Amino acid sequence: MHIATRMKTRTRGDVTEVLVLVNHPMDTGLVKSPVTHKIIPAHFIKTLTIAINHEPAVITDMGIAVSKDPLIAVKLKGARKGDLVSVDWIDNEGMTGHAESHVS
Amino acid sequence: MNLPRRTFLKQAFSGTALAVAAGAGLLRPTQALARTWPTWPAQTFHIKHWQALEHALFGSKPVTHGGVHLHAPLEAENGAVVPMVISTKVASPKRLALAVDHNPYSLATLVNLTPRAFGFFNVRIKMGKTSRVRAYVETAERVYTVDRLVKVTVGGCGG
Repeated sequence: MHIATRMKTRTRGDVTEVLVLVNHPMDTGLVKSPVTHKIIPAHFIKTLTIAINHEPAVITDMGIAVSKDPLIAVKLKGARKGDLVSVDWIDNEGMTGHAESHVS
Repeated sequence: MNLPRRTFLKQAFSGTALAVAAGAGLLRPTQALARTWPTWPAQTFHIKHWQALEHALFGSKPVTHGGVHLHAPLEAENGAVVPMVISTKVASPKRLALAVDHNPYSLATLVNLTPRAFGFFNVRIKMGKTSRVRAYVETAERVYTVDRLVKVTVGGCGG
């Protein structure tokens, strides 16, 4: 299974807004499949880190309550043109994802 | 950032060599952190009641109402996707938390901020039924909180 991770940044002055979208099912482990009537096992992102030039700036721990296909926005301070903003996540099955872009 | 937890987990899970290197100052803490995954606080995410959660997260730190804004809809037509925005102007926020009273597990997300980040977080969450949603901002000295009642007309946990 491939899970797409996308990221967008927008800088105005000192503020860099970072938008992250991950196409992740975020299954809670509490829901039964309407087809098989079996519990769909939990599959969700546990930790998502946003970094500037590889230094973590925001570390988000998530529970099962975060919606499917998480869309997350944070604001970073003092990122300059050319700085590398990156996002990394890991889920409860050990799958990981990454996206990065330079501040323009 | 919750430093004692990070430090502990870093040493517990990053492998001895890396922990020793970090301890000896060969790696800067941020480098060590970037190479390992900070560990998810499983116990905190399994707390059912918001008051127990508040105590587990913040201990005996004084909790003040206000100082944080929670932008949430008054009524959510789809409980599977309820947009939430936490924002705060308090100086040097360390952690943000979002909790839903009537979800199976109260804590939805816990955000560790460094000085490189503003006190702002936008996320979409699931809500099983109509409930109060609580936002928290933790600084070194105290905790700021605000809550909003969000009506859910179609549940998020049953699809």
